[in-house]
Amino acid sequence: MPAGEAFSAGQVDAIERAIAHAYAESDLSFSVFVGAPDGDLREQGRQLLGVLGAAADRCVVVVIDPAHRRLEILTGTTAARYLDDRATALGAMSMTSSFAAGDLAGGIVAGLHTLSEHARHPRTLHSDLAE
Amino acid sequence: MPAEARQRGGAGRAGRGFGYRDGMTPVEILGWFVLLPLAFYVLVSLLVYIPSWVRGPKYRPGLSWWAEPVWIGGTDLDAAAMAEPVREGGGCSARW
Repeated sequence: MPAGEAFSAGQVDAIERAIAHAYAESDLSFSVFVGAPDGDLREQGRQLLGVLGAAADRCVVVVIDPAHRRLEILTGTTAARYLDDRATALGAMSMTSSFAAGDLAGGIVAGLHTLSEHARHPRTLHSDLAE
Repeated sequence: MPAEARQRGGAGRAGRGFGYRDGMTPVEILGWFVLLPLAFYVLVSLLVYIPSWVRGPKYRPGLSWWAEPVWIGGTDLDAAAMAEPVREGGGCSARW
Protein backbone atom coordinates (compact mmCIF):
# COMPACT_ATOMS: atom_id res chain seq x y z
CA MET A 1 0.00 0.00 0.00
CA PRO A 2 1.59 3.30 -1.04
CA ALA A 3 1.97 5.87 1.72
CA GLY A 4 -0.98 8.23 1.95
CA GLU A 5 -3.73 5.80 0.97
CA ALA A 6 -6.29 4.82 3.55
CA PHE A 7 -7.04 1.35 2.18
CA SER A 8 -5.30 -1.33 0.17
CA ALA A 9 -6.72 -2.30 -3.23
CA GLY A 10 -8.29 -5.40 -1.71
CA GLN A 11 -9.99 -3.36 1.02
CA VAL A 12 -11.34 -0.83 -1.50
CA ASP A 13 -12.63 -3.75 -3.55
CA ALA A 14 -14.40 -5.22 -0.50
CA ILE A 15 -16.01 -1.87 0.34
CA GLU A 16 -17.13 -1.34 -3.28
CA ARG A 17 -18.66 -4.82 -3.30
CA ALA A 18 -20.48 -4.04 -0.05
CA ILE A 19 -21.79 -0.79 -1.59
CA ALA A 20 -22.99 -2.66 -4.69
CA HIS A 21 -24.62 -5.33 -2.51
CA ALA A 22 -26.30 -2.65 -0.39
CA TYR A 23 -27.66 -0.95 -3.50
CA ALA A 24 -28.99 -4.24 -4.88
CA GLU A 25 -30.65 -5.04 -1.58
CA SER A 26 -32.13 -1.67 -0.67
CA ASP A 27 -32.25 0.31 -3.93
CA LEU A 28 -30.44 3.12 -2.11
CA SER A 29 -27.02 4.50 -3.11
CA PHE A 30 -24.38 4.26 -0.41
CA SER A 31 -21.05 6.06 -0.32
CA VAL A 32 -18.30 6.20 2.27
CA PHE A 33 -16.06 9.18 2.96
CA VAL A 34 -12.94 8.58 5.06
CA GLY A 35 -10.80 11.55 5.99
CA ALA A 36 -10.04 14.06 8.68
CA PRO A 37 -11.90 17.25 7.70
CA ASP A 38 -11.59 20.35 9.83
CA GLY A 39 -14.76 21.55 11.46
CA ASP A 40 -18.17 19.98 11.73
CA LEU A 41 -18.31 16.44 10.39
CA ARG A 42 -22.07 16.58 9.88
CA GLU A 43 -21.69 19.70 7.74
CA GLN A 44 -19.10 17.85 5.65
CA GLY A 45 -21.60 15.03 5.14
CA ARG A 46 -24.33 17.50 4.14
CA GLN A 47 -22.00 19.02 1.56
CA LEU A 48 -21.20 15.57 0.18
CA LEU A 49 -24.95 14.96 -0.18
CA GLY A 50 -25.14 18.34 -1.92
CA VAL A 51 -22.57 17.22 -4.51
CA LEU A 52 -24.85 14.34 -5.43
CA GLY A 53 -27.54 16.80 -6.55
CA ALA A 54 -30.98 15.39 -7.26
CA ALA A 55 -29.80 11.85 -6.54
CA ALA A 56 -29.12 12.81 -2.91
CA ASP A 57 -32.71 11.93 -1.98
CA ARG A 58 -32.00 8.22 -2.34
CA CYS A 59 -28.45 8.36 -0.99
CA VAL A 60 -26.82 7.43 2.27
CA VAL A 61 -23.44 9.00 3.03
CA VAL A 62 -21.20 7.56 5.73
CA VAL A 63 -18.59 10.08 6.90
CA ILE A 64 -15.73 8.68 8.97
CA ASP A 65 -13.06 10.74 10.71
CA PRO A 66 -10.47 8.26 12.04
CA ALA A 67 -8.28 11.03 13.43
CA HIS A 68 -10.93 12.27 15.87
CA ARG A 69 -12.79 8.96 16.07
CA ARG A 70 -16.05 10.45 14.82
CA LEU A 71 -18.68 9.02 12.53
CA GLU A 72 -21.73 10.50 10.82
CA ILE A 73 -24.34 8.73 8.76
CA LEU A 74 -26.55 11.00 6.66
CA THR A 75 -29.60 9.95 4.72
CA GLY A 76 -31.41 11.80 1.94
CA THR A 77 -35.11 12.55 2.21
CA THR A 78 -36.35 9.39 0.48
CA ALA A 79 -33.61 7.23 2.00
CA ALA A 80 -34.67 8.39 5.48
CA ARG A 81 -38.12 6.84 4.88
CA TYR A 82 -36.56 3.39 4.57
CA LEU A 83 -33.63 3.94 6.92
CA ASP A 84 -34.77 5.75 10.03
CA ASP A 85 -32.42 7.23 12.62
CA ARG A 86 -32.67 4.15 14.84
CA ALA A 87 -31.55 1.92 11.98
CA THR A 88 -28.65 4.23 11.14
CA ALA A 89 -27.62 4.13 14.82
CA LEU A 90 -27.50 0.32 14.61
CA GLY A 91 -25.30 0.57 11.52
CA ALA A 92 -23.08 3.07 13.28
CA MET A 93 -22.76 0.75 16.25
CA SER A 94 -21.61 -2.18 14.12
CA MET A 95 -19.04 0.11 12.46
CA THR A 96 -17.65 1.67 15.62
CA SER A 97 -17.19 -1.68 17.36
CA SER A 98 -14.78 -2.70 14.58
CA PHE A 99 -13.17 0.74 14.37
CA ALA A 100 -12.31 0.59 18.06
CA ALA A 101 -10.40 -2.60 17.33
CA GLY A 102 -8.47 -0.91 14.50
CA ASP A 103 -10.37 -2.55 11.63
CA LEU A 104 -11.64 0.30 9.45
CA ALA A 105 -12.42 -1.62 6.27
CA GLY A 106 -14.08 -4.51 8.10
CA GLY A 107 -16.21 -2.10 10.13
CA ILE A 108 -17.35 -0.27 7.00
CA VAL A 109 -18.34 -3.52 5.28
CA ALA A 110 -20.20 -4.77 8.37
CA GLY A 111 -21.94 -1.41 8.82
CA LEU A 112 -23.04 -1.28 5.19
CA HIS A 113 -24.54 -4.75 5.51
CA THR A 114 -26.44 -3.70 8.63
CA LEU A 115 -27.71 -0.53 6.96
CA SER A 116 -28.81 -2.29 3.78
CA GLU A 117 -30.61 -5.01 5.74
CA HIS A 118 -32.64 -2.38 7.56
CA ALA A 119 -33.27 -0.36 4.41
CA ARG A 120 -34.59 -3.36 2.48
CA HIS A 121 -38.12 -2.76 1.25
CA PRO A 122 -40.39 -4.24 -1.39
CA ARG A 123 -40.46 -2.49 -4.71
CA THR A 124 -43.72 -0.66 -5.25
CA LEU A 125 -45.13 0.12 -8.63
CA HIS A 126 -44.97 3.79 -9.70
CA SER A 127 -43.14 5.05 -6.57
CA ASP A 128 -39.95 3.01 -7.17
CA LEU A 129 -39.50 3.87 -10.84
CA ALA A 130 -35.95 4.47 -12.01
CA GLU A 131 -35.05 8.14 -11.76
CA MET B 1 47.91 -42.69 19.69
CA PRO B 2 46.31 -44.29 16.62
CA ALA B 3 47.48 -43.05 13.29
CA GLU B 4 44.09 -41.81 12.18
CA ALA B 5 43.72 -39.72 15.37
CA ARG B 6 47.06 -38.05 14.72
CA GLN B 7 45.89 -37.09 11.26
CA ARG B 8 43.03 -34.94 12.60
CA GLY B 9 43.30 -31.19 12.15
CA GLY B 10 44.59 -29.10 9.32
CA ALA B 11 43.99 -30.59 5.90
CA GLY B 12 42.91 -33.89 7.43
CA ARG B 13 39.48 -32.51 8.50
CA ALA B 14 38.56 -31.31 5.07
CA GLY B 15 34.96 -32.29 4.32
CA ARG B 16 34.29 -33.64 7.85
CA GLY B 17 33.38 -30.41 9.73
CA PHE B 18 35.29 -29.46 12.91
CA GLY B 19 36.65 -31.66 15.66
CA TYR B 20 37.96 -31.01 19.14
CA ARG B 21 41.09 -28.81 19.09
CA ASP B 22 40.95 -28.39 15.32
CA GLY B 23 42.60 -25.23 14.27
CA MET B 24 40.44 -22.51 12.66
CA THR B 25 41.61 -19.65 10.56
CA PRO B 26 40.39 -16.09 11.49
CA VAL B 27 38.22 -16.09 8.37
CA GLU B 28 36.55 -19.34 9.48
CA ILE B 29 35.98 -17.94 12.98
CA LEU B 30 34.44 -14.81 11.51
CA GLY B 31 32.24 -16.83 9.18
CA TRP B 32 30.97 -19.36 11.73
CA PHE B 33 30.62 -17.19 14.81
CA VAL B 34 29.79 -13.74 13.39
CA LEU B 35 28.47 -13.90 9.84
CA LEU B 36 26.34 -17.03 10.23
CA PRO B 37 24.49 -15.81 13.38
CA LEU B 38 24.13 -12.40 11.75
CA ALA B 39 22.62 -13.95 8.62
CA PHE B 40 20.21 -15.96 10.78
CA TYR B 41 19.25 -12.82 12.70
CA VAL B 42 18.61 -10.91 9.48
CA LEU B 43 16.54 -13.79 8.07
CA VAL B 44 14.32 -13.99 11.15
CA SER B 45 13.93 -10.19 11.22
CA LEU B 46 12.85 -10.16 7.57
CA LEU B 47 10.33 -12.94 8.17
CA VAL B 48 8.87 -10.90 11.02
CA TYR B 49 8.76 -7.50 9.31
CA ILE B 50 7.96 -8.33 5.66
CA PRO B 51 4.22 -9.03 6.23
CA SER B 52 3.67 -5.64 7.88
CA TRP B 53 5.72 -3.90 5.17
CA VAL B 54 3.50 -5.48 2.55
CA ARG B 55 0.28 -4.56 4.39
CA GLY B 56 1.39 -0.97 4.97
CA PRO B 57 0.53 1.26 7.92
CA LYS B 58 -2.36 0.04 10.06
CA TYR B 59 -5.00 2.25 11.59
CA ARG B 60 -4.54 2.52 15.34
CA PRO B 61 -7.34 4.29 17.22
CA GLY B 62 -6.11 7.34 19.07
CA LEU B 63 -2.99 7.81 16.95
CA SER B 64 -2.64 10.23 14.07
CA TRP B 65 -4.33 9.64 10.70
CA TRP B 66 -1.96 9.69 7.76
CA ALA B 67 -4.08 9.10 4.66
CA GLU B 68 -5.55 11.37 2.02
CA PRO B 69 -9.35 11.81 2.11
CA VAL B 70 -11.19 9.24 0.01
CA TRP B 71 -14.85 9.01 -1.04
CA ILE B 72 -15.70 5.48 -2.08
CA GLY B 73 -18.92 5.24 -4.07
CA GLY B 74 -19.10 9.02 -4.33
CA THR B 75 -18.44 11.45 -7.14
CA ASP B 76 -16.22 14.53 -7.12
CA LEU B 77 -14.71 15.09 -3.70
CA ASP B 78 -13.19 18.45 -4.70
CA ALA B 79 -16.66 19.80 -5.46
CA ALA B 80 -17.82 19.18 -1.89
CA ALA B 81 -16.30 22.40 -0.58
CA MET B 82 -18.38 24.45 -3.03
CA ALA B 83 -21.57 22.39 -2.77
CA GLU B 84 -24.73 23.63 -1.13
CA PRO B 85 -25.33 21.49 2.00
CA VAL B 86 -28.48 19.37 2.06
CA ARG B 87 -30.47 20.10 5.23
CA GLU B 88 -33.29 17.59 4.83
CA GLY B 89 -33.08 13.92 5.69
CA GLY B 90 -31.92 12.05 8.74
CA GLY B 91 -28.95 10.23 10.16
CA CYS B 92 -26.97 9.78 13.32
CA SER B 93 -23.62 10.51 14.95
CA ALA B 94 -21.30 8.17 16.78
CA ARG B 95 -17.85 8.12 18.38
CA TRP B 96 -15.48 5.32 19.28
